Amino acid sequence: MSKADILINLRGKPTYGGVMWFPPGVTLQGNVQVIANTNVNCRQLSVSLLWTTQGKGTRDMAAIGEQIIYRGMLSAGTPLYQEFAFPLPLYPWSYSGHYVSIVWQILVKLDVPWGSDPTGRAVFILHPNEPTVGF
Amino acid sequence: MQKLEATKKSSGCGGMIFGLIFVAVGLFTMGIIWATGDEEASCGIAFGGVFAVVGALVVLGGVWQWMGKLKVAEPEIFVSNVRPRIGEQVKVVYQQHFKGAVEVKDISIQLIFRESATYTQGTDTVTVHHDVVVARLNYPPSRYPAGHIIQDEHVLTIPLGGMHTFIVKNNKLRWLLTVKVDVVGWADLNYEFELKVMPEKVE
Repeated sequence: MSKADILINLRGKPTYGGVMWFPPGVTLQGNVQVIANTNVNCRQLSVSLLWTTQGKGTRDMAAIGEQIIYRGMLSAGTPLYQEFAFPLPLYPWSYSGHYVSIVWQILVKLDVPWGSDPTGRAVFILHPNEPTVGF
Repeated sequence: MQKLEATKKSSGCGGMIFGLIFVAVGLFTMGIIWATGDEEASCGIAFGGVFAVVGALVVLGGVWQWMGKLKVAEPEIFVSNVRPRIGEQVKVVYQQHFKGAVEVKDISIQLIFRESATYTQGTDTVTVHHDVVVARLNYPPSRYPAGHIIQDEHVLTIPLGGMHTFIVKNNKLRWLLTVKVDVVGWADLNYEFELKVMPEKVE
């Protein structure tokens, strides 16, 4: 069992499939909820804004920003709420093609000693046009 | 108007060099085996001979392509904006000089959106492409005398629903203007010119 469950909530406009859409250049706001399953010493709770490519080619990625939003003890069963915000860049736009896709996401990572780090991610769409069908 | 430099052109030189290496290896192998005087070396001589013949064919292919370029000059492309936005109309001037009299079966100019993905497979690095032809212009078959110059202006549009240029190490999304000249009796001449489409929309 993972040492903690991570839920990410983005405040944007939901589109097809519930994926949030944001136009380039706006500020993405959201919050993360962490519920530890045991008492955990959290070395750091980080939130990263990044894009990755998906598809046939070897994966390329770039982290655009990272924030450390918490350090300290997490008690079992006690939820921790933290807000975050990132100014979004103007590009690259989200894209889904034949061999290449560009996927934007928020990645939350809980750095804990002695074990694998629990992670959570929330995919979103960065595009000037509000999508009418799924990207 | 701004001139675009060709990012890819068919020259035939690469094939000729490759073919010459094959011929040299084939003849060298045959010569070595012949010099040893081994009567049971006919397989080796045949192997060298096949190498030399394949190389000679590749050289001929390269010469064939190169000869075509003696009659048809490299096309010149001028555009109103080398960095157009999504939805922008781009004026394209196509200029083609025929150095010798030729019969042309087809000239096609295409606006292409190309996805390229590079990955490793074992020890090989493989790149695959997927092209979407967004616009195509064709010239009908015609005979052109030596010295003739085609100079035409066209308008092509980067579609509003399109994607901007994106180039990273293993994945690329590129906009290309391609020119293919199909000369009767000679190898096709292929050229590519790149537009950098910006991540902005025409209002």
